[in-house]
Amino acid sequence: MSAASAPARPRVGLFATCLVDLIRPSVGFAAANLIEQAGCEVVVPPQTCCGQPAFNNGDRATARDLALQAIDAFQGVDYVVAPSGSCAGQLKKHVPELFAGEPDLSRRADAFAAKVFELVTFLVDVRGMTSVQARFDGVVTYHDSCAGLRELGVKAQPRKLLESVQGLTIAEMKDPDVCCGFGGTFAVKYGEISDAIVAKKADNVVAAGAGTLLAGDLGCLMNMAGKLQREGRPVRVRHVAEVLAGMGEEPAIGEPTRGE
Amino acid sequence: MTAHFTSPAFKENAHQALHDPALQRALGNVESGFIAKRRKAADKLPEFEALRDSARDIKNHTLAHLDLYLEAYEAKVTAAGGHVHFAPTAEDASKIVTDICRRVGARTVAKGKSMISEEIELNAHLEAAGVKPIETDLGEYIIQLRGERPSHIVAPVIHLNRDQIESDFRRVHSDLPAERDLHAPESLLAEARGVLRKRFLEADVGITGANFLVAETGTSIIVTNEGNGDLSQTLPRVHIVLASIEKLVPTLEDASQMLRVLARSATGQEISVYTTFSTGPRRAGDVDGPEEYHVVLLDNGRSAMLAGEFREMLRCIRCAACMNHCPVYHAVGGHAYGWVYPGPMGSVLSPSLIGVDKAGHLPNASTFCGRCESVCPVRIPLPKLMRHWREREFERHLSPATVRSGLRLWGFFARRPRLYRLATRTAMGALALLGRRKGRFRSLPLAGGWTATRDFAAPEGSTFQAQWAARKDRA
Amino acid sequence: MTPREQIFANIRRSLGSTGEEKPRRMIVEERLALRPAGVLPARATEKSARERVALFVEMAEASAATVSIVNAPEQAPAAIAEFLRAHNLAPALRRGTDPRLEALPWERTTLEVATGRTFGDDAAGVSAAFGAVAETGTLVLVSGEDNPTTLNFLPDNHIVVLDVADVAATYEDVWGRVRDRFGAGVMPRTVNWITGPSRSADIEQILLMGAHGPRRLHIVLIDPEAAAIESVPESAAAPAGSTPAEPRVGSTLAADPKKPGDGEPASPAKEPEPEEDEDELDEAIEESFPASDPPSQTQP
Repeated sequence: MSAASAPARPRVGLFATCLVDLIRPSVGFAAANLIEQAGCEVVVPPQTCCGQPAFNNGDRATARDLALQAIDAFQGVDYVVAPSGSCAGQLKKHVPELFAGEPDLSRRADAFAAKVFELVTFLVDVRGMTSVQARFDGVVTYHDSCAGLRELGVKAQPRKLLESVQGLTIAEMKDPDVCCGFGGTFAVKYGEISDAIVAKKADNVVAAGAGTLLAGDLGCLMNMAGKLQREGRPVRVRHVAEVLAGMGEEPAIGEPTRGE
Repeated sequence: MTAHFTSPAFKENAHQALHDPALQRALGNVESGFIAKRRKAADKLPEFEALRDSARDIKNHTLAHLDLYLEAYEAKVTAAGGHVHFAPTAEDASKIVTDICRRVGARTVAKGKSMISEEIELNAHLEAAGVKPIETDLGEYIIQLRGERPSHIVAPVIHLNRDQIESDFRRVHSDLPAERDLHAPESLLAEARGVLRKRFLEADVGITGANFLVAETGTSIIVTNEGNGDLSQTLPRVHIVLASIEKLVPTLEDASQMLRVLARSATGQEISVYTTFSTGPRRAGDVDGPEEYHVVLLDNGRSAMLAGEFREMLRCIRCAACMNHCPVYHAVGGHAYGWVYPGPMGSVLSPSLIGVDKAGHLPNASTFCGRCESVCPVRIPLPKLMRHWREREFERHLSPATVRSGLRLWGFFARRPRLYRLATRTAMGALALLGRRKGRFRSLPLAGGWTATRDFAAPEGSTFQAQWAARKDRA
Repeated sequence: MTPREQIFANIRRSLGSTGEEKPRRMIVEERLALRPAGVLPARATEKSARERVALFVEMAEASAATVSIVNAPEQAPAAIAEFLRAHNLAPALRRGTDPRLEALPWERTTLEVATGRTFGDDAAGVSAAFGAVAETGTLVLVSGEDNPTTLNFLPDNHIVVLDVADVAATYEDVWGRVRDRFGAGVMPRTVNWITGPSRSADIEQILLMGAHGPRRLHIVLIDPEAAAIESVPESAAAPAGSTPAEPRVGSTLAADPKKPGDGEPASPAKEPEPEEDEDELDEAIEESFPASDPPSQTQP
């Protein structure tokens, strides 16, 4: 079924992303919670990786295999939603590129890509959500992750929903739309440059005077959290979905699990 | 080919750059000097985005018919009394220029800013032929005094601070009073102006680049703010234009479209101070201007680029917006890239021109943040083209072994969802246990590039898929 | 194979073309003949003739050119003399032999007028513009005996006489006039678009005026319909006009826009710290025109 003729209670396949799956499952639950709040049914088909690390490292064959795997796994859903602009961008924008010139596969890839959305844009732009029932006492600053911002236009939507969170104030940092230096394998391959970039970002985050840093991509969040924590800066780091789903009291990224 | 490059040592170059406090101070001027101005100029022109489309389309059209536009251009230059020389390689181009200089008995050459001149290492060739090249663009002049390469294609000395320039001027302009005050940048400019004014008047040959070539009329166009290019091409007896073949546009109307996006993208000006259209040598009745007009058209690998996925790179109009907006360029500056063209445009172009085996780091040294593409006036999909280079490297087994084996391992599990779930559940459980006290790691095997300077968040425990399945089972 | 043939062969191999295909040739010939205009800025095209002139003046001034407006060509020499006086420059200039300049009553002033190209010994050069472009405040000059190109670049002060009828909306409009004058597909040796005086931002991205070309660009606009113009007041620093030449510079000289204390350590009070474009330009102009004027003098 195409997105255009979606039923009253659409079936959404949650593409958790591998980082959320492995490192921070709570983001997956926050996303599922929000999608349900938006009047959808959530399913989690078996999944691994969107293929972006392979794609961006020049390994098209693996990227294709993983794309086809995702296309098959998410066949029966109305939408594919990922709590990541980067993975959603891969599935929505780059998967079709992988099959250009192959009519059958291309058609399947295009149909799949049309169903894919980044979480917050799905909530706001597709489901028309204008507010959430959540409370978070504190000042937050929001980092625009690059792929979400430039490939998918994620910019106003998260801020709009954050403004509806009770007790929450947004303090914009300088250059919120400038890269944090993560860049996937770049952060390891060119660690020194990556660090120089995230150091600037960390300065901007701290200067914003917010107690919490939010973004929509776990990779960027782990990078920024890792830098802030190594430097002992008093800023907690969370995925935006956690705050929107009212899970802002759980341990932040890189913090020890409670009660242990 | 004698190209001098340090691109294979990109990582070491970057390391040095990151630990050079003077460079880091100077690099702050990239962000403060360009970004807001470009934004403002673009916002002031409601048609700017449509002009970017138009500029892209003009270049695409020209490239698809490049042979025919070159023929038309050549015929018009010849009709106007000029000479067109074809240079398949960098060596050929340098030889054509030095031959002209020798023939007219040139002792000094006044040069306007030209990246092609850097690409073909013209100054070294001229000097070897006993001809003294004098760079006249303020930035290029400073670069020449220092024996360096430009670190930016529009602002050659963006990597320098004024005190460094002052000490160069004191060293080289030793005939001027030692006690003169050179602290203010104005006095540095005034001194360079004074020194170079004499050189313009002495020069036998003037060499400029070209921002565009116009097929309709056989015209070469240069765009400057200083006026040095105009003095270089107006005062000497001979004017040589150095241009690569992709600079062509069909008509003056097309050139005007391109000019509307060039300065706005480059410096945030509505238009540069001087835009100069040159067609042939001095005409009957003219009282000034060059007696000879030559155009040296350089290929140097570009005709081959037309064939494949890198053709789009030939749209580039060298505005430098990509590097001005690049976080990697901001961090390491232009010299780290190790050859003539830095930043995102260089990361795509350099592998084409000097070989991906040598420039292989460059397309990898990008976070793919996409800011370059978002400001490119001719909409070159720079990240996509960098990715194409990564694909070539992967196919040719040029990418680092650690990356390849890491990817292979990851790909092995990612292709097998059941095995993946099993393996990751176990691995994450173990890691979570190791990291549970702190919630993060200060070091991790194989991720030293990360954990040298950043902590790495520990997994929460069981994977999302495992927890979700367990929850469904309970329900 | 000659180098030329080699390059053409490579291009054609890459494009998969012989170079002989009729339709391809037709497409190229058509484009060269029809010259489609592309996207034009409404800011210039949708204006009346009067608004266009106002836009030209506004944009030219934004580029740091100065403009004085006279109602008739006969008033141009006096306006030029006044400009030179206002800048403490000798009453001397060099101009080309453009008939429009030849016809001016120079003898009504005390100006010493030389003609021909310059070798760099002239403080002021005067040219007649071929045209101008409102969209960016750009002057269009054409080379030749009438207006030698050296006059555009070597003198410290470049003064350009412009007839209001020659102010076009867009660059494309001027190309139309160039074709009318010189023929389709034919260009004069040099066409100079000039937008403001010479400058450089190569040192630390600080905008400095007067790099290699003129430090000042002054436009004398002949506009019969301009609002009644008072006679030049004795003591005023500037010729009459919509924007007197000197007050713009003079006012930045009089005021002290320097904010002490927020320069970087390497540079105490004396450096412009641009916040915003116009401020930056004003400060750059000020820096380039130190109090006492002979332009060859360096900083006080």
